[in-house]
This record gives sequence, structure tokens and C-alpha cells, in this order.
Amino acid sequence: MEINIEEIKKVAKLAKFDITEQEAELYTKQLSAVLDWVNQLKNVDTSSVKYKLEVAPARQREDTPVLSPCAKDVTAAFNEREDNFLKVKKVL
Amino acid sequence: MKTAFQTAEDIKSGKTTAVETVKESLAKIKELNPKINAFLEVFEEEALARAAEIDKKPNKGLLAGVPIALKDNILFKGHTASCASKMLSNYKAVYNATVTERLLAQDAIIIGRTNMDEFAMGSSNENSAFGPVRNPLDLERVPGGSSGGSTAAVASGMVCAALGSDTGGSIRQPAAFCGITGIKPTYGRVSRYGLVAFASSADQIGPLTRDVRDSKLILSIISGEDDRDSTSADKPAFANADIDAKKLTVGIPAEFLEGLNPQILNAINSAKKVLQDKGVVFKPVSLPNAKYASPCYYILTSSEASSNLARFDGLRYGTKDSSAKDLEETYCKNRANFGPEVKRRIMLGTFSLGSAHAEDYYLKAQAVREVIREDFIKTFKDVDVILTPTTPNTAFKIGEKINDIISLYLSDLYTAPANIAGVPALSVPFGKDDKNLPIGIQFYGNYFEENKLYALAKLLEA
Repeated sequence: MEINIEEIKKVAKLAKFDITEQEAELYTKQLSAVLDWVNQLKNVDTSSVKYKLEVAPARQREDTPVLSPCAKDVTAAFNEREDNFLKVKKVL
Repeated sequence: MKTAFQTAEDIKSGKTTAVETVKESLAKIKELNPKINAFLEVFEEEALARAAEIDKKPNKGLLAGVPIALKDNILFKGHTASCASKMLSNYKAVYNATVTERLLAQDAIIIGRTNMDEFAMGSSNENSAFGPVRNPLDLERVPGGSSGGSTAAVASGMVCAALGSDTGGSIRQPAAFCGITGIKPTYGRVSRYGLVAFASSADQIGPLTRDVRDSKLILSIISGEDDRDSTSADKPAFANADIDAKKLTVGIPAEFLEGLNPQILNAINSAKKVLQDKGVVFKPVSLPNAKYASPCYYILTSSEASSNLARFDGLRYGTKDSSAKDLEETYCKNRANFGPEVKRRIMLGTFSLGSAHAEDYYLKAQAVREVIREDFIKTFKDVDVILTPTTPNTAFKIGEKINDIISLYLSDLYTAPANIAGVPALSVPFGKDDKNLPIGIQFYGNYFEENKLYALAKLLEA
């Protein structure tokens, strides 16, 4: 399947990273080739398949509140912070 | 370096000390790492201090004083875990992975963190933000990936053993390229707590070792249920016991031999002969849909990666761009620091999950996954173990495939089915090609039957 450069730019935007015009051209070519290759999946008859999106039974543990032992260590490593909070650029 | 088992025995019997062993390992790293680039960081002083403590302990653990390397996506408290990415270049783990905790509890010495393909995406180790790893057997060639650093460290004798992670073949393929033993355990066998997630439904940690005995020993230590990983299986740790391989039946699926490199085909045939001579019975089997595992893998794991890697916004760790005017722009500038392969996969995943394409790609791949899983379940009713090649080719040259994405993706052709089905698979070195490069033979087993893989691999080793 062909994917065009506009779609590639849209996907990069959704994935939230900047790409240059050059990168967009390269990824268009490469991802078109990858999609061509994965299209062979269409040859598999899956009409009778029942599947779940969950692959393993999830373990459950008792819901008991505990203090995170490492919250301070986590925030201490941030590039920019104020008290125990992450500092970011304005959202709006 | 000796094997992990022998090293621990020698230290416990007083034949050598943990300090001497660590010094030997550090000397080897100093000598070889500048050429091989297997280690991103070595914890020299800390390792020596810990060795001295272990030497003083009266009751030593199963891995007493054994130098072990961790892939750079496995957390070791207080140490950097960068996934060989600029995005996490300065991230320090604030807790231990379950596997790290379990190794330390047996007195292992974590000697350093090893290079890898960025976020475990790749099969040549050329995708590291910190330079490629070289194959210790031929420096012009790749060690395989993504656990290339861990594998090269073991194969070159810098450490006794290492841990890697395997999402589509990232333990077994490098093990085959470097001539050592690597296993991807059953999904859920080993806790993923503290493993940086790439594709959560397929990721599994496993040992890279010099022989089968070490692989069993280390799997028995790191496996077992863990409340901190919701996908950890409700099973006890792998029991390190021998079973009689002669009672096992093995199948070689014809589909895996079609168009196979003749030298690897030869190795498969000789392996079959060795096993038959020792009494193992072979039966014909078929896995008609296994060839779809590789494209299925790329859709599913890229989709999961696009979600798992969404958390890396560059605000907390990594290089930060302060020129952006708002939060949205900050994300886009910071995330441009992902390497090209990671970007490709995030884009493939984002595309496959998009509402316009999910039916044709993500959901179709999920259905194909079920078909492949059913193939395995059916086949394991007829045979105990499936024998296949590990890789389509032996180690290729650095740069040889870097521009041929599909050819690189096909490195996973024979390994991805195990991750797609969730079954265990092991690669053991068996024979060499005309360039003197090692060939890997792979055994697939039924869920939680790693012991059968080990029993057969042991026969090829002898």
C-alpha cells in the first residue's frame, strides 16, 4: 500500500515529533515498502478467529494504599522542577 | 571467563575470590570494550567493593561473585538506564527490576550496562544512539540485536553471563550470531517489572550464557511469579532439574526450510542426526502460518511501542529543548531526538492504530496472531519440541543492510513466531559456516516447558 507524504506528516504530528522535509520523504518511501510487505497478512483467512485484545490473564493484588518509596528520587531527577513538581511550558 | 556456575563454585570452594574474578572481568573489559563497544558503562569501584563484601560472607548465594551484565533497558537502582537512547541518556533508575533484585539476592555482581538497539528496536545493534556494537568473532560484522551488547560481552569473555530482552528475537538472534546460548522464556515466566516496555504483550527477559547449564541456572533464579507485573504467570520459578531427552519427540516444520541458506540447512540436518543417534524421535510437522509472524510482529509491536513510548516527552529526562514557545511544541522538539528506527516504528504503530486503518492492520494482525498461536497449540499435541534455524543467515557486515529495512526486518523470520505465540524458544550454537561464523539452532517448546528445550540443547552441546 502506498502512503503519501501528507499522511506521513500527519502521522508524525499525531506521534508528536518534528520531522524535516527530507525525513518525511525518506519515511514515505520506507513505510510504503513496509506496508507493502505486511499486506501479506491479508492472505490469512481469519474469518473464524475469535480473539481477545488481552493476551494473558492479568494478576490482581490487594488494593492497599502504600506510600511510593521513591517519589522524591523521581522528581529529583527532573530537568526542571519546583518543589516536588515537574515544571513545564504553559499549556495554552 | 569461566561459566557462571563454575565461577560461583570456585569462589565458594575458595579456589578463587570474588575480588579476583571481578578484576579479571574488568581487565578483559578494558582490553576489549574499546573495540567492541559492548558496555555503555562499567560500575568498576562498586563492583569491586561488592566483591570484597561477598568474599566475607559465610553463606554465599548461587551466583556468588559472578560478574553479570545488564542490558541497558533493565533497571538497576541508582544507575543510568538509557535504552541506548538520547531520550533517556541521563535517566537513573530509582528502583530495581525484579530480575536485578533476584540476581543480587544470589550474590551476583552487576558489572555494567550494555549497549543495545535503541529501545530494543533492531537486529544489528546499529540503531544505538551510542554507536554500534561489533561482533567479537569478526569486528567488521554485527553481533545481532537488539541485545547485541549483552551478547558480545558474554561471547568475548568480558563477563560470565548477561541478561537481555527478547520481543521478536532480540536474545536468540544475537546469541546465534555470536555463538552463545540464549533463551526467550515463556511469556509471563520472568517478571517484566523494571524492564523498560517496548511491546508489553511480547517482551520477555532472558539469560545469555556460555552454556546450557548457566542458562538453566540463571532462568531458575530470575523466573517466578511477581505481584508487580500483572502479566507475570501464576507459576513457581523454573525448576532447574534435568529430564531425559531421549523420550522426547521433535518436529522440523517444512515451511522453515524453504529457501533456507544451504549451510544453515546442513547444520539443521546434522543436528537432527546427532539427536536421532541419541534416540530422539522425529515426526513431520507443519506450521503453515508461522511465516506471517514477522509482519504480524511489526504491526503489533510497533502499535504497542507507539503507546508505550508516548510517555517519553523529554521533559523529565534526556536532552531538553528550551526554545519552544508552548508545551505542544516542546513535545515535538524533544521527541525529535528519537533515532530513525524508533521514529519509523512509532509512525508505523500510530498509522496501524489510526481509526482509518485499524481494521486492516492492527486488528487484522491480532487475528493472525491467534491463527499462529493455534498452529503452535495444535503442533504441540503431536511433538514435544519444534526444531528450526534461529536466523536466515549468519552475522552480516556492519552497514550491509542498514538501508534495506525489509531485509533487516526479515532477521526475525524464525524467531518472531515465539513472541507472537508466547511460547519459549532457545538458540544454541551448532556448527559454523564457510566464513567460520557460528550457526544457531533453535528449539521451540510448549508453554512453560523450557526444561525440554534445555534437555535437547544439552545433547547438541556435548
